[in-house]
Amino acid sequence: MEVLNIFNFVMLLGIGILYIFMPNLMNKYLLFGVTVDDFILDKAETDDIKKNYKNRMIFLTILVLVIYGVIYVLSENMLVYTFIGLLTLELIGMSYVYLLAHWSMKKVKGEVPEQESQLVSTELGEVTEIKVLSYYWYLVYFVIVIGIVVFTLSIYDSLPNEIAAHYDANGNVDRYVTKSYGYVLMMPIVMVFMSLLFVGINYSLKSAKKVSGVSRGKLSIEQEKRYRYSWSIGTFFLGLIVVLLFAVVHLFTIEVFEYTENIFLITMLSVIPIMAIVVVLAVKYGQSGSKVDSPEQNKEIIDKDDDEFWRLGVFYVNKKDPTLFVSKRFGVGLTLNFGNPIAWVIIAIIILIVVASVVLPFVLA
Amino acid sequence: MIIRLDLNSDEALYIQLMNQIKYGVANGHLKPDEKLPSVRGLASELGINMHTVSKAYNLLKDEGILIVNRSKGVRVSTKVLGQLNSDFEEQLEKKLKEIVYESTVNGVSKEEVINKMTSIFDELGGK
Repeated sequence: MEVLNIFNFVMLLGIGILYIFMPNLMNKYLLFGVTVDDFILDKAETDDIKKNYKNRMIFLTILVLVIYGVIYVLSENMLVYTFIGLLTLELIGMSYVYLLAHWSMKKVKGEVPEQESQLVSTELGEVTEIKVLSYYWYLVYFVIVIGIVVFTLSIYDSLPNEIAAHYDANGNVDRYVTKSYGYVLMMPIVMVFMSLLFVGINYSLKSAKKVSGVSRGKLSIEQEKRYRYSWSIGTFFLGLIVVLLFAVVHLFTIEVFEYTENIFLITMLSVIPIMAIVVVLAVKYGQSGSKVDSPEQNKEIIDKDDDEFWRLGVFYVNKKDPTLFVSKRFGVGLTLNFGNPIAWVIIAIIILIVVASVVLPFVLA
Repeated sequence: MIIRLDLNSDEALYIQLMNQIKYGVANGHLKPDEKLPSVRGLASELGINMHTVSKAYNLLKDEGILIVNRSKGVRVSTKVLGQLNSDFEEQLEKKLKEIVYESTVNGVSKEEVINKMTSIFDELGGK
């Protein structure tokens, strides 16, 4: 599985590169999850923190890749578990490097006198309304699911009575499942939940709290509208790839396609366009430094920052704020307001779906 | 139009919000029948409590400036800038009396008050 190893290598490298350059992709006034101003940005300490962050991330990425290479040379096996282990290590390491930068940044800010502004502002009017891709587009997903269900039921009688449910590392079947409607429709059910999840993401892109504003250091509303709409289109295609991937996996599961090692390859290759979409969106439509402080911005207006509600600069917890979705301060995409009880309901549902899709095959088997 | 609230002000947030929406309607930034964000939406953007926004919207509805409709959302009433609200007719005199009495107590002359008022009207663009 040469291809798989190259893929794993590229994944580890790609994530490394994304996080090395993450500060460049973010709003320059939200450095490492801390609201800063030009005065703090000009400080020598701030430059040091940025430099340290970058160097540590580069070191970490290289370290992970070297370990992967060494293990590959020594074992020459398919390195699935090594990959998962190293990926976990990389992510934990990166979180730590981020936290170091976050804490140092907070310290630098702490030396600056307390924030003078207790003002909040927003813009009213129809021009400020966020638009996303129409929900009708998502019917495509459900057409695919219905197609798969109809097809599966139409060939149900011709499917073997004993369906292979699990393969060992050599590709030999080591567990069979007796055919049932429940079993052959398991994947389509998962696909329905997947589709609903993407509909939910589209909704969250529409309803997330705006990062744009009229005050200094904010994105302009036009930029935010463009950013949300392009994310909405990107998300639709991400979801389409995922749904199609599940459809293919389903056809393998019910043995319409014969088992081959290529199933890994298909799964892996589908991740490439997904990564590509995310990178393009993050780079082209992110909230990077150059996009804030547009001419429409009023430099005199400084809003109260909401650092107090951002735990570790990552988790937004504000009980007063009815917002459910907020843009991440560090990283790509959206996160939840954990001060809103609905956020916890959503987390519970997602955990439930994940657990169910893992456990369900065993229950049915 | 831009809404700005001062969280540290002695003036209650809902009053600040009401005054700014009134100002927006008066100076033409908010047109009759223009849609305003939902209670949740505006509270979310400002990061303030929903009750605050809800209170401001309801009082503005009582004053006939906003129309809150389940299906159409919150809109500026189509009757603003034209028709006189009978409740307001009573209140106008009461409010003006307050201003006149307070001005007198503070030694502000009739001319000064009238000049100030004229300039405030002018600022709105003669509306």
